[in-house]
Amino acid sequence: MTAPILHVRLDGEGRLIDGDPAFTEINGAAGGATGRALASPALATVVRLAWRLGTLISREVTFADGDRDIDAWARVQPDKDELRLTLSQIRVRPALRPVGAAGDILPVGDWQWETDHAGRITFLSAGAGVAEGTVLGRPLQQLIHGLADVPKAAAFHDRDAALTTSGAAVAVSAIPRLDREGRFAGYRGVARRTDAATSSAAGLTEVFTTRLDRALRGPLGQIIANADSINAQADGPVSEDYAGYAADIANAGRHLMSLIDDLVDLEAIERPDFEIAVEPIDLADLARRAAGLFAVRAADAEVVLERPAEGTSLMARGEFRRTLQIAVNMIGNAIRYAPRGSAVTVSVAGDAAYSWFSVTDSGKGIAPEDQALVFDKFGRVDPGEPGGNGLGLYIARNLARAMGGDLTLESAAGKGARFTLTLLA
Amino acid sequence: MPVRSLDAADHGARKAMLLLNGAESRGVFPPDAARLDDETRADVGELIVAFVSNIVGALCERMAMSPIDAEAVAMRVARAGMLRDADLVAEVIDRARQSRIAARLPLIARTGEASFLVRLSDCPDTQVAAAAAALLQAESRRRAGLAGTELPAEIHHRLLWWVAAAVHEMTAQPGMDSVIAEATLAVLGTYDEGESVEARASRLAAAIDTRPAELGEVLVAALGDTRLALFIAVLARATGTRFDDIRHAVLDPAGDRLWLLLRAQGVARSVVAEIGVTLAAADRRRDLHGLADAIDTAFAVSSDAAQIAVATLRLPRDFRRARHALQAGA
Repeated sequence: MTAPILHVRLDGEGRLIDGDPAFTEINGAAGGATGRALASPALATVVRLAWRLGTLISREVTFADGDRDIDAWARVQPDKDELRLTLSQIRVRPALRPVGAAGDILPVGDWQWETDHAGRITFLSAGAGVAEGTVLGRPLQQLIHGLADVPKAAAFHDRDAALTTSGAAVAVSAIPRLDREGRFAGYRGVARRTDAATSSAAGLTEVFTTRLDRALRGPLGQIIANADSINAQADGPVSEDYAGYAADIANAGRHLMSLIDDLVDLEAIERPDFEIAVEPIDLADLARRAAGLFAVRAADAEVVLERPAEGTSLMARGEFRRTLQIAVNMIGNAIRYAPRGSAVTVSVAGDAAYSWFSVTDSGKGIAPEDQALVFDKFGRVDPGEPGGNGLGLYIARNLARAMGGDLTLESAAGKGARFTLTLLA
Repeated sequence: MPVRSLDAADHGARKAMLLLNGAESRGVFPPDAARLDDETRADVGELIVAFVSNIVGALCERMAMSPIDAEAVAMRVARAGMLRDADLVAEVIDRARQSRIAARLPLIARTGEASFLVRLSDCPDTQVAAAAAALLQAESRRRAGLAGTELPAEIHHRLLWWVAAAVHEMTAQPGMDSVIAEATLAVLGTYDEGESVEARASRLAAAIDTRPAELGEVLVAALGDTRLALFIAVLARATGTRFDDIRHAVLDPAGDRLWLLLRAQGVARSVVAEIGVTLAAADRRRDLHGLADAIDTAFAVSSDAAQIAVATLRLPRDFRRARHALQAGA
């Protein structure tokens, strides 16, 4: 069957008045005739419904023609005392289904978008790197350019284009959205960054770490949660030995999880366009919060944790979350190396230009020749020592520098260590 | 605990089913939920996990902690009885159905014109334009999973404390009490229910302030643009009724109240039929063939009688609930 659209006229009782020859032939072959109800029960039902409701009914129908099945888009419009039936997108099975139906599959992309039939953006997922408020409701060209020659209403795949704001190269694919009458009503599309893999080929790529993050974090979270529930004997008693093993599994899982966090951070800070939102923060408050997070661990390690007095305040410029991350890293390290019964001191100080956050321990200290090493990527003074992965201080220093500050160390072997985070006041 | 496949494709649906089945087997899922079809059950479970995940993320970020497995938190709070909160569950069920139906609404395109909400965002009336742009953004963010829970404030608060308690338990550090409480209060402080899709749709409906003669046209345009929240908000505005009461009427597959509401507003029969057909195309629970009878029934009463029939919907909900309870107890 090749006819693109078939027209049929019916009376108020749903009886055939006339129609295109191709239709009357199919209807006749199925036992229908002029002046009688349509032979196909599926079509007759649609016609009856449109008449009773007095409104347009439009849906996909399947009816038989001899030993073939025909899929079509049926549209029945009441018109005074008559009904007009239009059949479009006619396909004989097992041919492809009409565009927009289940046969069209959109590839996986980094982010998704959608437009209406006027080409205006109606949806944007995360990942485009564009504030959705600036492009929603606007023409697609304000988001992606280079798609002007795409034929309207046809699906397209992996077209090279670019983000309008940043110029970043993307490969764009889309399938048409159809309205209830099967007409083009916009696109549903995905975009995939194509320059990410080449720009940072030397180090970890963003795509790599994003996938690593997704691929590992979920399963690892499961392992930790399940091991924790076994350890807590939440679902019933287990032997103490096994509960202990479960705790070991959970701890190993947490260690791996922190490594993933670090790798994701590492990728971020090594990107040339890495930026941190700098805002006024209260460094004294942040120091107390960070120390609060270690209250239990300090007690377990029998270390006294001294923190800035309540009520003190010291303003600095940095991003709250990132500064807290640095502080947590510094305090965590200090507690790890502090001898039992000793104190770790968390203090803040400042002048007109700078604010400082220091963590001092009385552990074994770091010899001057090793001091540069602790800030190196994967740098560790004693690689055999448990805990840590050699990334924490490297990331912390880079974060500090990205906020306009620095992270420094004063220490001598056997005399403890003092790490100081300097931020602009 | 059974070993679960980590196959990403159906991981979401499966975890939702696990959550609900787990809750149900312990008798902590409300009896109403037993009537949910599988698809809605999966959606409801997904949504609860998403809400919990959103809150866990906010809390962990506040405390500069590595993310905790939100699914485990959801399981924990469900097991402890969070899903006995009838208001929460009713809201989640309605939200799940609202999204599912909105996603399936057939588009009605008007040649040469932008879609309805985009046209409103271009409107010369700056109030309408700003409200439409705000809704466009909120709907996009919700669909992209970028929005917060957008639950009514009191329900959000209860959920937040449940999650905080579970996070506290899972971090297994008694000294964390005040840290978590402080973080939770901080997260609570940033919550604004006025930013939800529903609130923004209601503000847009107020800005449009549809005249009775245009009501049918606006309702069909909103549905045809798959903006179900706007459809509900416009009808709520026209009838002087709360958004969630109208939403309930719209999500009810029998639809009787909806046809009566439309009848009471003097919406033409053909428009009511078009709305019915469009909703039936998006909601497989609806009986398209029974629709004509249902609409006939609604139009068998006069517009005035229909107004009286739906007038109770305008009364405060707590008053209606209390009256209902008295009648049930009498």
